[in-house]
Amino acid sequence: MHRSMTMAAAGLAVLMMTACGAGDPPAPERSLNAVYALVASTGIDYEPQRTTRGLAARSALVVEGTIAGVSEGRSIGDPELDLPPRSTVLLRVSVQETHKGTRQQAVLVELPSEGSSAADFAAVLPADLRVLVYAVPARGPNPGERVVTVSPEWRAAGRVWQPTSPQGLVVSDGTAVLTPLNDLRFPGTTLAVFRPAAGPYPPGVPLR
Amino acid sequence: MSTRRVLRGIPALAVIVAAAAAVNAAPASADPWLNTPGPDNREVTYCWGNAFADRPGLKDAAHYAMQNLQGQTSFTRNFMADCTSNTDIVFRVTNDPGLRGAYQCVRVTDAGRCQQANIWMNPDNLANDLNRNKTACHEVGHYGRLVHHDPPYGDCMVSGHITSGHQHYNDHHVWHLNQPL
Repeated sequence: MHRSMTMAAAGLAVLMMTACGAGDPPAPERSLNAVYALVASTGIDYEPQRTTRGLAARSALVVEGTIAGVSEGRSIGDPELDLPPRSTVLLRVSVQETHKGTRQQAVLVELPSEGSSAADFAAVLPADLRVLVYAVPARGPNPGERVVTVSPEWRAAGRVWQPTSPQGLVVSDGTAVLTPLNDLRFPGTTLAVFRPAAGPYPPGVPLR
Repeated sequence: MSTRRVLRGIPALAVIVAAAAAVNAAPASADPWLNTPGPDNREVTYCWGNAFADRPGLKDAAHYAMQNLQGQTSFTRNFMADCTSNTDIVFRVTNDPGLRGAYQCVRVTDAGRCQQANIWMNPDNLANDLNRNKTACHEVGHYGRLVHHDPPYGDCMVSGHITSGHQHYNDHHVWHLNQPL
């Protein structure tokens, strides 16, 4: 008991020294949690689909691949409200498998950026991140809103996509799967169980 | 100070840390906070953004949710006829077919608290008063940094369509909402 307490205390000391160490701020962590921290600061109520087929049926495009780059998207504001415009970023997905929709080499997926820049996103994406996207064409502004700025990448794209729902963005670093838009983590699983033919949409656990 | 002396002091420190954690523990099974800045005050003002004022059902639901917040917790509510940069929550309409509702903090104070937030509601995905009230309650809960609670919990932080109940916060979420800001 005493030995285990001493070891636990030593561990705590190491943790505290690490956490409190002086010096420059640490470089951004490249991890699923860091991706989550950028994306999932929005609280959403949505209709969860219980099967991957159901989610695919609501989607015009389902693709799987890697992230080849991040760029700025749009900013959208309401001229009659004194509110900051909401901004977006574009993930360029290099497509390796097309599960539904027209086959293409790459697609642009628009995400809310919550004030973070494309560079912020690029800095935290794990190098080996794989992504599965259930998508619909990007929609226009909400009632009362107007598009304030559109990036050259957005303008040049033939079509930009958005996740069908918070379940529609699925990422994996090989150790776990994360659906960052709805705060869920799926430890020990792979993207394979999220593909349209997989069946039930896997139950997850909330991120902590 | 030698390493040995530092380590000798650690067990006591560990006990203090553990005791502090026990004092602050949630009364029921703990759940995390939403990854967003918490409210900057307990006197919550709210208003209607464009298009929301034209939706009587949504307005009723928003009033219901704010009244419920006041009734169940130590927050108070105050409706503002005009939105300003100081209004805490701006209720707005979204047409995103993937959403029933959404919460987003859009202005943060220097202290890292949420000065102003949007709550979006999608009238096309909210079939009746029961579901409008539940989603308004749900998004106001996110304002208080509540996370989702799946069934069998009966409160409004459940996701998706409901056919009965889910109009309030459960005791555990009330505990969360009443924690110091």
